[in-house]
Amino acid sequence: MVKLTSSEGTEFDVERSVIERSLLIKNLLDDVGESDTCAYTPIPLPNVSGPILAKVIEYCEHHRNDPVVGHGDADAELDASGARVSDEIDEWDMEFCKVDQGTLFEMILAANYLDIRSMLDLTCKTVANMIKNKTPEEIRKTFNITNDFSPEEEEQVQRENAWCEDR
Amino acid sequence: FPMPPSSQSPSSSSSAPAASPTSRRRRILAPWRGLVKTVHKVFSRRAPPSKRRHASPPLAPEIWHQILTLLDASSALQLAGTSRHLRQLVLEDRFYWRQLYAQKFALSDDIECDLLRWAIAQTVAPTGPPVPDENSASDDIASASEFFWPTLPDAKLLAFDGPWCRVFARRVALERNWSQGRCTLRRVGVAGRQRHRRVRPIAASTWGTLVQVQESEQPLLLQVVPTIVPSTGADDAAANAVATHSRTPSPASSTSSSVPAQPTLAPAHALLLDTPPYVDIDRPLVNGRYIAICGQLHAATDTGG
Repeated sequence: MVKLTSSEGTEFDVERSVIERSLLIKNLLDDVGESDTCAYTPIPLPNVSGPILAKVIEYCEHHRNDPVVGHGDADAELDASGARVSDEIDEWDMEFCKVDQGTLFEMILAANYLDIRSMLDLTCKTVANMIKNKTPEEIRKTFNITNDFSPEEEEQVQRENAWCEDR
Repeated sequence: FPMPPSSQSPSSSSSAPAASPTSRRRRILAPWRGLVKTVHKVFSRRAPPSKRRHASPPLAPEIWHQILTLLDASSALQLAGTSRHLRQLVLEDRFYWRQLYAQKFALSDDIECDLLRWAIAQTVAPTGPPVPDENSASDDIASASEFFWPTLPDAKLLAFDGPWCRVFARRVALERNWSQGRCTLRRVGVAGRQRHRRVRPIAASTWGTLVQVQESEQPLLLQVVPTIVPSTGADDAAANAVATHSRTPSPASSTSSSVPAQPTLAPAHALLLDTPPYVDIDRPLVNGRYIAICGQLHAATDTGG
């Protein structure tokens, strides 16, 4: 077992094989060596809050038997497939990502920080799907983005963006 | 702050004598502290989460890049239309636009490589650095008319370090305009001694036609590459006039049957095959190939539905 401490100081016990989906923690544990020492030494994760860490552990437990995807693999997959398959999210993952937006971004940051490639992919796909097929105004509403264009700029932006529309 | 490299931890822990649990624990934690501090330093640059409206969701550029790679160009541009920050982030993500280009226009042959050179030439000033503004479609084409031509070898084209968003935009506009036959033709002629030589089409694709000019010494390849110019009503009238004129019978017209039927490109074919004198050879390029301007495309933004 491994102990993790969230930013508030909450301790989480998690199986080493589960949390090793996080490359950061895996490398940390590998560097330190013997697993019996880990049980006594909580790993501080000052950037991850308790609720987010709980989500991370939930994810790692569900996907504990999946093959680990490396960075290089993911890039190769993108190049080969051409049309990327961002809507291919399985049911459990979809439910897992049904959280409020602040939580979703926290999950992205945590997955990035802990270096859990598949979880980062999943959460980024979720954000990408929230962007697709939306107008700029709809995207702003979805993500609470402030429109800081002047009216003239906005008109220019719309004009410039027309080049890509398939007509 | 001091950060003990993690690689030192095995040697330091093995050489140190066994001590009290406290010091043992401290010793084990030491490499972690360094790592944790390092990642914390990187991580803490992000803005604190907030319920307020913001210029963009608080994600690092590299994460935005990853999200972008999941979006098609159209969605990416919608995102770019939301705020100044996101606009800059999206339009300046060269890796994203280059990846899109490589996916949509695989550099599988000489023609595609030359078209990429053309698209790059459209976005780069003849002598200076890449044009800084990201105005992708409606800017001045003066630099293009000066016929700058990138000399990058095929294998290094994708390593071009420049405004790939604009490169991609040019190429997309070119493809669409040609496929819709949206071009305005000019009368052009073979200069000097090449005048009135036979012209034989070699290959046609969605972008134009490669032709071979027979002359006494050796065949000459002409590659027809259009330029984008702002559209006006007068251009359309001129296009019709030229297209009509180009149907004049000529000695070379007998070769037109060998051209693959591509109705949308009819004006270009007609010009090349049926109208002597043929093509102005502006200047030679590498490998004995020549480039000639034969058509002018309407501006990409003027799609007109």
